[in-house]
Amino acid sequence: MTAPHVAPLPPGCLTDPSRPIEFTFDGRPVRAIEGQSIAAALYAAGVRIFSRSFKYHRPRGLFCVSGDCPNCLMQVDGRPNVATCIEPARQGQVVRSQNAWPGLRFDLLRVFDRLHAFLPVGFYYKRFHRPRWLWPVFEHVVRRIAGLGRVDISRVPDLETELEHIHTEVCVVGGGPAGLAAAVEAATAGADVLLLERQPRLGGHLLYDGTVTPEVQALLETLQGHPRVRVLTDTSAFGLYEGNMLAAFQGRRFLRIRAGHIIVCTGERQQIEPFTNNDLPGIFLARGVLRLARLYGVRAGRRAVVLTDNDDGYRQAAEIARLGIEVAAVVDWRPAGPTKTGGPTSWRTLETSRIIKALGGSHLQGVRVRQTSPDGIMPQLREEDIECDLLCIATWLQPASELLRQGGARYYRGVWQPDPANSGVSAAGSATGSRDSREGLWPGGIMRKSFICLCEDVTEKDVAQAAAEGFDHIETLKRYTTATMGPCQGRMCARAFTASCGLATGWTPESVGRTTARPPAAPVELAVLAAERRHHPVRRTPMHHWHQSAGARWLDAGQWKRPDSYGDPAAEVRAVRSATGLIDVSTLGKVEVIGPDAVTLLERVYVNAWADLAPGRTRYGVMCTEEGIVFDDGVAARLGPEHFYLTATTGNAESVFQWLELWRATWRLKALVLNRTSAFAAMNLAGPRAREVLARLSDADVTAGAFPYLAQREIAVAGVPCRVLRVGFVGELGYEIYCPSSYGQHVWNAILAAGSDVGLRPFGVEAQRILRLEKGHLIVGQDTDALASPLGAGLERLVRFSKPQFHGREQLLQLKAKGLRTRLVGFQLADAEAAHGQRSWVRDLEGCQVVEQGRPVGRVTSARHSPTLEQTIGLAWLPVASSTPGRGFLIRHDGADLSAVVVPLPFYDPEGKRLRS
Amino acid sequence: MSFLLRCPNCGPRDVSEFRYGGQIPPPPPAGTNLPEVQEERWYHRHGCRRWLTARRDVRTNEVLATAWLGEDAP
Repeated sequence: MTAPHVAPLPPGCLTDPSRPIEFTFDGRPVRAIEGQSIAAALYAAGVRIFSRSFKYHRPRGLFCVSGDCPNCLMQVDGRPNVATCIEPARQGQVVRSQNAWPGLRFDLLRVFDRLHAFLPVGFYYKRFHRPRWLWPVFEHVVRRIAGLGRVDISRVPDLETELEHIHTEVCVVGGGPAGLAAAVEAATAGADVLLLERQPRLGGHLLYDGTVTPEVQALLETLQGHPRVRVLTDTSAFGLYEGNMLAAFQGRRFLRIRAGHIIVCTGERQQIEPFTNNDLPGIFLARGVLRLARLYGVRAGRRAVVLTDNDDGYRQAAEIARLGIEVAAVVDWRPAGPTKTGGPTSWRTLETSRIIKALGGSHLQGVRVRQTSPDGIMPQLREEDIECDLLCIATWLQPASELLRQGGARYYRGVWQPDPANSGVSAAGSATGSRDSREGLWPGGIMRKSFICLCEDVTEKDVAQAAAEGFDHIETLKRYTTATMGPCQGRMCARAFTASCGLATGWTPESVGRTTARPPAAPVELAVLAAERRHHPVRRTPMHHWHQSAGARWLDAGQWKRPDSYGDPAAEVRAVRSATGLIDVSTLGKVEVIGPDAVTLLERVYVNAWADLAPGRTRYGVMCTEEGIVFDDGVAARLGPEHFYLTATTGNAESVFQWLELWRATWRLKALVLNRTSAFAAMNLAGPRAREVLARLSDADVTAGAFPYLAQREIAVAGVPCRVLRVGFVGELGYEIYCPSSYGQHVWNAILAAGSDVGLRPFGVEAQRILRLEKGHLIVGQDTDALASPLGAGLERLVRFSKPQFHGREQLLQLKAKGLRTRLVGFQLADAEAAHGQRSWVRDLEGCQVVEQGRPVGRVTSARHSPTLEQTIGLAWLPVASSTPGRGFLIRHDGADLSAVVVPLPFYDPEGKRLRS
Repeated sequence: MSFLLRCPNCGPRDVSEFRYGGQIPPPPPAGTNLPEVQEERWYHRHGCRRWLTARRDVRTNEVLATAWLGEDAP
């Protein structure tokens, strides 16, 4: 066939021909111009096969040119499944085809197409059912062959995504004529308007199908720079959620839009039509041909046949002819009627005709048309083959109603009616299917290789067979055949699927119903959805940078960064035991409770007593949930009769504050609860020479008599007013020093300098864990879990049952009456070698099971090698019967059972002499 | 869930700013807990950090009224 000369098309309206670019496709260079889509550039370069189909590996070409169908999905710069028909080409881009082996033009896996008869619907369920032992093999093979694209796990994913929250009075989705009119009307009425358009320019279908009329031009000019209108192009809305929240994305930006009113103006689209080989490259949606030409400046073919069932199809045929494409024929399913042509035409019109087959191997070469007698008596009046390289589907447009349906719209009399219960969503333009779409007939009837779902390679025959197997509802047919469940999510096939379900089940199209519409209505990358989760706040203590320069190894404690050690935790432990250590504990939760009811609040929230605590004294306290489970612990000081200062564990600081505030409000107590966590820096100066160091920095009397164990004093340290608590978490003479955060570094430096000649050294969390374990002090959340009562955790002496009311009282009384089942005990490893070797795996014992006769009966919660005792020690929950000191038990670690023996707590300084010194 | 809650201090805010604090009074025994309007505690975690009560229809997530916890009923 010799091609007559055709004038080149003008450049597409989205392109800039003055800016040439180049990218590679499967290793070959391809030229494009700025604004052109990847697929358009490839089409201009002669590429016709863009992908291989999901199941049968049939060749697929451009079809929708709107990013809806699966045919042009490719790997772009490592990102799989990019819709290249709308993705702009960029300089240096690396584009690869996917789902084809060895290549697109010759795909060996096409063998599946020949085996069509042996790959019925539900094939996987049926064929790979037995034998069971072959499942791993089947899975391996099927996973290699099936699926779309490959995730390159060696590639660092582009996580540069961000989230924007937008609040607006009106949000208009779709910048076509209806959307423009709606936006102008809302803005003129005084509303703040957000207008979303998925194309790079406003105008909707007028950019390619029809012309921008003066009326529309006026709307565009009104919106330009309108103070109350914000226009977002290149933006796809994909989800409509409760509370009128719309989810959308613009490139790498995730938009959460809260709108008082949402107007859906998403328009309509053409969809697939049934006939044999209806997926052959060269078959396009008529609008796809127009988009390719008018948006990107690329002509889809030379000689076209237009398939239609409505008058507008003739107008589209004329538009296609205007592109310099010869229209050979218009095939119309309807009998001869009036008003089909608006004047003399160059094409043949075949009425009461349908296309029954697309001819050609890997590209369209013609169509077979069957004509019925107008009265329908002779179903096969005549058959004829028409030569063409392009078939344009210009049948009834189907509403793009996904968002409306997510919003609860109901299909009623051929139109999608927004949910009457939700006054916040409405529709304008053709998104509701305002034309009577029932007029669109479905000329189906079981034909060979007539695909109703391009994404999942589902044919009409598959639906019929599924129905014959007993799946008689559209939702079960959908799940069994997987039709409409691929990348297009029904955008190309909803009508075809509904119609074939109707045919297969004998239900009328109205009673077949529709499948449920759920987000996402447009494909969205997971990285975009995760934009919200990318923000990880980090909290640093006032002494953070000192730790950094001192070589701290960091530990993440919630949002906080804490020094785990400064290199040698064992040496840090020895320093605290033999001289003095200093640890940054600024991350501790700090809460002040002030007011006449302060003591009442504490009495009811903690299990222990507070009323009898004298001002200037501190006490260790434990609070439980209403179920009697240990919730948090910490030391509290009574600063005055109506003034308490509480500390909470690092991880629970926020929860403790919320908990106190909750009960203060619930009980209507006269107290003020203040979260002071960030206001104070805190450090613990601990060790036998701690007093000596403190005395050098303070004029106050810090002798044992004036400042005894468990006392609290407000004294100046290094010239800074400090709150000092004499406590002993690590089991030595110790002072917890609180000062305003801004002075934290100053006080820290002063203490380090004052202690330099007594062997003072900073220690980290790891040393503190060992020290407290030697002392037998538990850590809430590590040694306790969601079932741990204070009675089992060895804190029974604290629980003041004589108080009339406190959280957990009833449950703890019941538990006491019933008797404990498990108890937290100390243990040491009996195995001498394991006990004395400083094995790195010792801490791996944490979480290991305690076994009795091969059955798990308990678990290890803490385990460390103690440099002080030269033993491997730990804490474990054991059955009460096995918890008596001296009793042996087994810990299952890494397949082996290690023997351990129960030891009384604490391991170190049982009389507490050092603590009180 | 993506509804709005009206904080008495901060105004209508996205529900994700709040922490749910349970139903008041505690839910009835299983089997009798039918969806209806219920009173709940919410904590404005990413806002003014105060507790409030809300009357919410759990069928539609419509929040009918809010008030400070421990003060007048919503």
